[in-house]
Amino acid sequence: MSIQHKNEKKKQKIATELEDIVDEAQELARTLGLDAYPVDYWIVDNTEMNELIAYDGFQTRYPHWRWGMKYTRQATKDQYAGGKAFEIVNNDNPSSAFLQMSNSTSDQKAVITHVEAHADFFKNNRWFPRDPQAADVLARHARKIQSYMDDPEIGREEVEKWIDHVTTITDHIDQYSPLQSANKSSTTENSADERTLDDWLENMKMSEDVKREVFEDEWLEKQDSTADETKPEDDILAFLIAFGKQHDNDDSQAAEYEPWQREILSMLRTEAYYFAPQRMTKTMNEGWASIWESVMMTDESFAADNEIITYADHMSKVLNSPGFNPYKLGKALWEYIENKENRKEVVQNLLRIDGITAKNFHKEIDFEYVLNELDYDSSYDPAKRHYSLTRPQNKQFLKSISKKELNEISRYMFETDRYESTDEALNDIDMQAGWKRIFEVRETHNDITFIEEFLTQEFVQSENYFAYEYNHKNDRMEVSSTDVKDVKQKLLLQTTNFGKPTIVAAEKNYRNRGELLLEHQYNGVMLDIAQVEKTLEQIYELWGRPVNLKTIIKVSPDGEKEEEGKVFRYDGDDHQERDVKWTEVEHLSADKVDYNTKPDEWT
Amino acid sequence: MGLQDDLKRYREVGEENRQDLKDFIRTGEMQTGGGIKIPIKIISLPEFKYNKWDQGGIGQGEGAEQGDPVDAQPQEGEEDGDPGEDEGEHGYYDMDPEEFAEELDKELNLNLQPKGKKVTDEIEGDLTDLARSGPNSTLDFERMFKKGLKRKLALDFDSEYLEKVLRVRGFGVEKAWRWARENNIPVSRAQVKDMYNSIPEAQKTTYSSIEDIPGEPEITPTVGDVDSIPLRQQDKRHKYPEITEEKQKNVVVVNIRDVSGSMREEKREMVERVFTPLDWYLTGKYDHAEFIYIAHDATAWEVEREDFFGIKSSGGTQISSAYELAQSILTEEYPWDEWNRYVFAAGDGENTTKNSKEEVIPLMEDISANLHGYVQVKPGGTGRGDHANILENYFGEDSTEVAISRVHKMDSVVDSIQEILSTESDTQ
Repeated sequence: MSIQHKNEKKKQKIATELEDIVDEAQELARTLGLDAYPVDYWIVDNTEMNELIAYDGFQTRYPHWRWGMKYTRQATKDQYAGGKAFEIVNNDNPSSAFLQMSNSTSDQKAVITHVEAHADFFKNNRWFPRDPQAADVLARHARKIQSYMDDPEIGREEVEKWIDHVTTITDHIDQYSPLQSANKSSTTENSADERTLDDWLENMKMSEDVKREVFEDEWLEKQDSTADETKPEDDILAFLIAFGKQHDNDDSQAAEYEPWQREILSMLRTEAYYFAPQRMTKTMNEGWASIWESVMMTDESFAADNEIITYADHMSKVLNSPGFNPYKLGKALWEYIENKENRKEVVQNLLRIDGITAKNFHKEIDFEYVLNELDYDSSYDPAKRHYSLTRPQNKQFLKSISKKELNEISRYMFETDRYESTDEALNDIDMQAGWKRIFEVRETHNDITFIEEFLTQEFVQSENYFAYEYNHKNDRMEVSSTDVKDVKQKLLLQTTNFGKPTIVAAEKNYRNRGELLLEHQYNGVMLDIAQVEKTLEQIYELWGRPVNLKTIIKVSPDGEKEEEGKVFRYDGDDHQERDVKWTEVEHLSADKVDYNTKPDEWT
Repeated sequence: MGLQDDLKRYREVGEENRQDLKDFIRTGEMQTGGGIKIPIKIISLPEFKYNKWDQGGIGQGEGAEQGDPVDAQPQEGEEDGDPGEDEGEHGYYDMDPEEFAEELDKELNLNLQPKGKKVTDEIEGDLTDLARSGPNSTLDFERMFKKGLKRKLALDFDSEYLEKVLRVRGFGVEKAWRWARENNIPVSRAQVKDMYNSIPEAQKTTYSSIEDIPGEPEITPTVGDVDSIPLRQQDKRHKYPEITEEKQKNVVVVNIRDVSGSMREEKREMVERVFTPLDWYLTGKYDHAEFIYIAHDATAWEVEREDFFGIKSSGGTQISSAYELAQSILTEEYPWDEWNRYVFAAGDGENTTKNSKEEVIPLMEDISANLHGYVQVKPGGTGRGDHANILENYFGEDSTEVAISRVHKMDSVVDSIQEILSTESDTQ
């Protein structure tokens, strides 16, 4: 009996043991209001888990040695750093979730509840396409690319190199297209539920030139043809598909792409768009899953008494991994949103009690009484029994409402309709306010809007977040600010455009020589110049002619940091850089959005 | 398609693109807790990204105030394995010591031949050895039977007729013998010769041809009864396996390092970059390698590998203390007749002349080894240390038993390794 076979039996045994648990978890999730894609659970061993992680959660991806490298790193991380992955789930309908064989039952329960919440998020957040049929699409790409590699005229090495060129810019797509296409769809005949990945892509907002090249004419006729011809294109990949050429070494002239090159560009672009929503909602999604896992495991006692300690340990490992942790931030921010909404609802009612005003609120209200009255820990209604304000760790929250917020709330209240007593006010409270709000938010927001709207000074202070920057004078990283404005900027820097600078394709005939001009939309943080040069070399292979990048850099003559315009150019042999007038880069400068939080004194 | 293909390709690409060993030794990470990890150059994909000094980040901590120092915390995307993240990071090519030794041989033109010493096994080969005596179980019966059979057939031929054949004119030993064989008479040439010689000369031409011989040769029937085969004691042979002695190629490497006050960061690093590859190389060349790490200032003590390069003390220097300790360990646990030995010492050359001449040198002579080495590290080439000169004056520049190497800048660590490994002669 081979090892493989042995494992199969064991896996089957575990799967059978977990069947009831999965059913229970799914039922529980439903009663709590979650509405998930159906999930298929698979049991895998440690090696398979590492493999899945390396391949982004799918079993079939296009062949490339970088997956081998990713796998090796993952296996090493797993072995030495104790970075064990408990589970992996992918965004598809049905979703596939993979559980490690070696997880304890308590861990499996935690994982399953976590997965169900993810599947609810994938289904309901509108930044995700419905029914992406991702596994099929990715497998189709894999087969196609394998066939190019098998083609003796092309060969594996050429294909891998081409894929590498393309991969350097797969982050530079139009992040907001998904939402715009979602908006469009809801007003046309295509209902959201019928959207496939391909349809979804076709609805992307793009410059007309690009669309003309990339898509079929008949579809184009449906579109609005008033798009600005010279609008810079966020979707660099689409731009390249439309206008790019390959560099022909023998001819030293640019040549049209081979069909296989164009196909690969297109396939990788599709994959980038497929994964984009996940990357753009990571903080929200992980926070969401952590919340519901915790509710189910502890509050709903899904974890048995003897499993609770293991669970606490599991949670602490996940939440306390070093550095910036999206699980932690996400979970904290969700809890804050729920609390804040509930608090607003309660305060609104309390302020309508006869004799209560914003001014005397804190003096007159008996907060202990209020919280007692709102404590329904054994109610059949899940919203009531999980009411956030009455949980031990949140008991101070109601009381801690700021004067400012009190004033704001009371300002927008009607004077009529007053309550005669506290009890009357309390009876009229919508206990589901907080809950409804978070369910709404998980539909509409992505990480950027999530952070933008809900991060407040109150939150930053209670969670002890700070922004830090490099202080040139002292040659070290230092806390630059604990102000919400700055913390928010830093967070947004990491979440906008996947934490990468925004680069757009500006011109396809720069200086009338068929050169490509890319522009960096400067936001106060400059580019890594060494990487710029290397990246331009890769893009050159996709354009076939010289490529340019226009940006703003900081120079410090005499210690004072000044901003200057620069153009970097690569022509296939040499790199050049030249200074450009401020008027040429003014449109790129960071007047609207500035992520630089360094105090002036530091420069 | 699939992981196996991708892993295979990764290894191929890694091999083509890995840093060459000279660069790796000069600049790479020596401490990897076990494996040799050679960075693969140009494997990480470039991308447009923020300048990390300009980017800053966020962290969490109570009581943080502007100006407080922060340990740069790993930011989003660096600590996760979640789906959808593309990690275009540096890769590493894992090399085992054997491959390392092979590749280093190629790059530095080396040719160290490991010697077998300790006899670990008497390996039993084929049963080809024969002896005349032995237990019954080892008797080669087949052989004995064949011999008996031959005996019987040999005894039963018509020697009379053969004698007549020998009397035919023109039939000498050769012809007669050939005739005998053709007629299935199992007689040897020697026997024919004997018979021929015993015939009087005159009678050798009695008959003019074979046909003139009266009568027929008596053809005896082939052996009928097995019991009638004569099995003789003298035909008995006993089989034994051929014994070859396998000598294991063992090596013990003694690394000695001056950890006194003067051995600061750059010197320490130079030593690490020379010793670590030497250790790997010898591990790769020998079947079994063991290591002894001795740190010394004015006294010496044994340490673990993990601590060896980091130790600092503030004492003075007496190199002989290390050799004394080495000698005692080697004598007790690594006898020269069983172990190959390499004794490498490194420092900045600072030692009293008296100690070098009167203590260290005699100890070095006393400790039998394949090779002794002294690596003198002096960044910039300045400094008082003279130990290398003293050794060189005594042992000679061309010594094949003591390798002396000087390192004056980090880049020369590779030259040092090459010098040391090319010193040993093959005739030891």
